[in-house]
Amino acid sequence: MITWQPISDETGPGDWNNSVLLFPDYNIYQTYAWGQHREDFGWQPLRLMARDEENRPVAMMQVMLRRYPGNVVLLWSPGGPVGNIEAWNENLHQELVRQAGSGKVFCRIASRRAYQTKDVLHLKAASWTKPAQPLNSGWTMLLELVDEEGFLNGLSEGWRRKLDRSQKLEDSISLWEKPELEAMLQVYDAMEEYEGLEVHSRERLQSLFRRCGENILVFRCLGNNDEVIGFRACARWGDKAWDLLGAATPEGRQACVSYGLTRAMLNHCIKLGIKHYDLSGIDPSGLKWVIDYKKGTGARPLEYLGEWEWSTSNWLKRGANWAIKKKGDGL
Amino acid sequence: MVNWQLLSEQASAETWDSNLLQMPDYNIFQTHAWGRHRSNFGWTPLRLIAYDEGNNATAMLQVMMRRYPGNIVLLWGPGGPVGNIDAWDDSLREALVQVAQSRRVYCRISSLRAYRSEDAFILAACSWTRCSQPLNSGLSLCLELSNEEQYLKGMTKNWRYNLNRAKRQEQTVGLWEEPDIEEVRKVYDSMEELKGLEVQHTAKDLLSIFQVCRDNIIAYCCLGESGEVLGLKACAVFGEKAMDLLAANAVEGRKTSASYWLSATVVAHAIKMGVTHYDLNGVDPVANQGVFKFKKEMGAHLLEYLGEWDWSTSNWLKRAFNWAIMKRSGGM
Repeated sequence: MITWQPISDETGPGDWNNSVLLFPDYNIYQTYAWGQHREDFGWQPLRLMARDEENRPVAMMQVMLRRYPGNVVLLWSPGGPVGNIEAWNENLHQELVRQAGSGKVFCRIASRRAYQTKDVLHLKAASWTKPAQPLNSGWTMLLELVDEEGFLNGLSEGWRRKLDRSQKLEDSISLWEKPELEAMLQVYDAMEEYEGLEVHSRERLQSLFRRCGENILVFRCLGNNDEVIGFRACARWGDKAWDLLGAATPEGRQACVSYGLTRAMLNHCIKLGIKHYDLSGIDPSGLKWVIDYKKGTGARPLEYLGEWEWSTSNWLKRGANWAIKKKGDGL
Repeated sequence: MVNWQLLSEQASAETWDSNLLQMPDYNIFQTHAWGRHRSNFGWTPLRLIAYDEGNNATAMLQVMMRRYPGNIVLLWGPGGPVGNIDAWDDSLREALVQVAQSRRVYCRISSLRAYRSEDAFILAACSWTRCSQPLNSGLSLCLELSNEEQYLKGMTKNWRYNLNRAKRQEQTVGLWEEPDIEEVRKVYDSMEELKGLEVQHTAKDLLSIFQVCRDNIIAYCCLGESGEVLGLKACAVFGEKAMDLLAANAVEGRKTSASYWLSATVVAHAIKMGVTHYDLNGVDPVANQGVFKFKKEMGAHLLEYLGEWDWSTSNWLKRAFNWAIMKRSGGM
């Protein structure tokens, strides 16, 4: 018999993180710091642990709670739960309802473990369903890192050519130990103008670095006038890393700065002992150049177990999916 | 660039199976005979081959078609397509729409090749989606066979004990060359009643399988002291692969562990025929742990199929078919 119990805030980040790290599917979105980061945006992080009959931890889950009028509760667990999937069962649902203090609960999880049919069967048996409106594609590109030589050997022809073109920037690329928000935002502004892409808000970046700064690595490239023409950031934890941010000015794009930055970042990660680098999401039917860029690093597609949901009511599930469709981002 | 072409009934009768055997993921459900078997149940089998620029066959698909009012067309490809997955793209779907002669097409495929994320990525990139209501678990157990001795060594102690126990009972196991459909149904009746199962195979279904696919089928039965059928097991053999097809035990057969002896005998027969890959045809380790354990202990390894994917000319049609499948699974 598996029992889920809440972990009090007093437990602190150290204990929580150390416990999560024991599960093979640990990820940055289940760290204490990520919970604090989301707390800055109105979410209340809940942290739960499942134990077996012998009181051994078998699964964990950090889930974000948001309460709506009528005591409707939305629970969202990016990257979670982690651990033994047999524990993601009715006992977890019951504990979530108890913690939410509501009989109207909608919960969505987004597991980052690799897709396995057996896991799917477990989830279905425990009344989880696939969302009608998923937030993400459920795919990423995963790069297995061994050494620099291995990385260079795995590059595609096209990628290697672009990397050669960025070679002249090599001396201008370095670890950005104290990233300046203003300089980053300027690069985003330039990129937004150039590509019409949506960028991260000041508040989001501020919170990200304040809360998760210890886990974040940033590399930047300086132009002729010492202005930042490109940067790349990843979150690292244990022997895994996840792409977080990346931007380049038109000048940086022309000089293929992202290739040089990626190489510098990956070399640094290899030195830190990182084995698995997650290029953080890809849409199989999305932009071909994005797929080619990520694939060209030697990464291979990885299908996540992905998003699943459960609710105390089917109507609530439909309502939540409708709301997600209307306002895709924001979880 | 590949070019999918529809084969005529006559052309496919002559060449389909030999071409199919060239594809590494060939299987019984893509054979010409299986298509004929399904045609006895209102399906029209369509057989398509993809040719590359050098006019080499690179992929194949036998798909069953059923037309509904409003010219809505359901296409179902059990075990297919096979061959180069890059060819399962827009060109295939265009060919399917063309042969269906309809703009309201729902197509579901069920690939039996082993799951690789690279393959799943290609399908997702080609607008195939995982079925929200799959018909099968997507998992199976497989025996890799080289000789009988190795096969016997691969069994667990428990399985071997039950096999020996079955051999000590007052029963015999023998090849069933002309299975009596009534007898087969009796065994199924007994099992379905005992386990509270729905009808697994109708008499018509069994008759069609044994008549149309007879060249591919090995069937064994277990007889009791007075000659009554206690259990049966049948598999389909195609090339170097075999697939479990039928298995049932009457109440008495369960008591005598007939299924152990039957399974071991059918597998031994398949080995003699040169089968190297024996698929135990589906398991659900969560919902049906008993069957999973029985098959696993034979020495089989878990096989995750690439599985079921669907595509439609309309999202509404896709939802409607998934809803209909949820309401009435089986039968495809």
